[in-house]
Amino acid sequence: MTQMSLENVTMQFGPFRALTDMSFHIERGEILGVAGPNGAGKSTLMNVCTGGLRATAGQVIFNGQDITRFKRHYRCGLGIAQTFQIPTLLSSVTVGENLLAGQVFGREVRGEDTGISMRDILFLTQLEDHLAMPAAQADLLTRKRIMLGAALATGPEIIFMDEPLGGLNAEEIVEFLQVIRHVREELGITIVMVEHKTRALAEIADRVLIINFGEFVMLDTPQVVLNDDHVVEIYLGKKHDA
Amino acid sequence: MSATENTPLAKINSVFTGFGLMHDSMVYWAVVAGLALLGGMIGDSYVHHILILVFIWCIVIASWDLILGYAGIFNYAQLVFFTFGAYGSAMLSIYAGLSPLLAIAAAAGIGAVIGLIVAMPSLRLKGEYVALFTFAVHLALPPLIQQGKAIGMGGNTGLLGIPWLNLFGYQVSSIDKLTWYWVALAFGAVCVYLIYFIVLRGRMGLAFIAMRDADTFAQAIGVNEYKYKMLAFVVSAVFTAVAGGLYAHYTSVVTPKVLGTEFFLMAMVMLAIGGMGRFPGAVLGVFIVVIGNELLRSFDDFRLLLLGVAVVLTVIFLPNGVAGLFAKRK
Repeated sequence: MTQMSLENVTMQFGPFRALTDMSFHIERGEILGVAGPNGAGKSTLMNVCTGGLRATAGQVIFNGQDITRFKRHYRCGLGIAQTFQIPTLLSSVTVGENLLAGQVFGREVRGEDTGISMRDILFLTQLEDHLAMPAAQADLLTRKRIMLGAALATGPEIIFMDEPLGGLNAEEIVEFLQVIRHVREELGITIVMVEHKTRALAEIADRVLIINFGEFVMLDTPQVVLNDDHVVEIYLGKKHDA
Repeated sequence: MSATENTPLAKINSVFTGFGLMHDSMVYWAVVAGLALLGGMIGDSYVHHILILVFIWCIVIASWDLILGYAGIFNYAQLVFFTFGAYGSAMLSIYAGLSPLLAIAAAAGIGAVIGLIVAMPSLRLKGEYVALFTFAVHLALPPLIQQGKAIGMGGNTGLLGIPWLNLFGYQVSSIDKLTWYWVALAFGAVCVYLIYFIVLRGRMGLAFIAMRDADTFAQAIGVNEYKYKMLAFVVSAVFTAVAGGLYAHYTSVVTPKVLGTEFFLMAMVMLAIGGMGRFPGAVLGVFIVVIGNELLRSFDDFRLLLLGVAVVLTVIFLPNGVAGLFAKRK
């Protein structure tokens, strides 16, 4: 079932076109990977979906509603959350207060309780022992957990994650992938993640979207996408026949 | 409505959910009571005068700390709110015959409107541009008051003969320093309490800190940036305008000098020495700077130089002001 869709979305910055006529659907409850070379427009795509940017043309539809012109906090109230590439937190308060902020403002912008209990969030993110710690002292993996926890506390139906695995070592990647997987399994939340680590993406994603130069290239299961000659070419360049 | 909310695990202990409020409030009011007693023991009316100014300044600096230190908005129009409060309260009591207490309450309303007016263009700007705009408002105000002579603002000489405070039929003259000491302390204590213990420890405070620490992330978790920045301006302006009104009735004179460089720099120095965004830093800054300034009076021309040196030393050794000392101890 389609939860969110982009219809002919174009994002123009002055003379530069970061996204061109982009259309695709996001299915409810799936883990959708987004990949493509540097500068392909992945972050722009995320921002158009979460409210950081307003598409120049085309529509962003969420649960049947046109949200193209809605602001970020308002989209949060509809159930769209996001985490960032560089973990920015409320660094002068505690870990617990970061989660609390998500709950308080998620509830405010929603106008009702968020539907995800703090108990579930603590269980998923394993932050229970760190609640009283100043957020500024958290290491990278913990910061990512906090950011995800705060996003979950707003009670989202879909989370956009920008390079959630960036900067983590092999062990931590396994660990955090498990957290992401649990979020989908336990809470049924749709996950859209931009990621450079294609192997990890193939492992966790149900489908992978490849974009290049701001244009849609293909959207299919990881097996199909990562074995596609054209995709390999985008990443590694043309094969030179001897 | 939700059963899971109340399970022990679901509750996060935080100053924003009322944790420690009882204890901290008791300490706060004990200190205030101590100051009230101290006022009775002091016999020198000049010392009373200095402390009355301290209490009025505390309101201004706490309000400024709210918007600059907590919400992270570079607002430099704080004395504009003060001036509108002072002139508004003075004019209402002189021309409209409002009793001073009512006039001060009305000044709070005027403050709210001015806060809104300054906020609206500021919210379209980012970071340091807010500083430029708000300081421009500050600089534009004296000529405006000059022109306001036509509507009874008194021009350069300012407004004289502002009615004394009337406390339930009892006229408090400016010479009655002891009563004024308690009045200023009561106003200061209540305002500072409301700012730091009610506003900043509630949802608004959490929103301010969220916007200051990570604005994009704050919006992503549902903080309505426009609403809360607007509130920061309005709340800050309301309290500052009350301080302005109080000041007008205490000195019974307001002149455009309240927008002068000395006042403005003094306020900046108080924040710098006290430290922003950490109670009770900014409030201690007021005590230190005003009292220090008085102690240095005998140095005459060197006074400002010494204050400058104090600021430089604070910035070097205590980058977070006096408040930094408290943080380290924890």
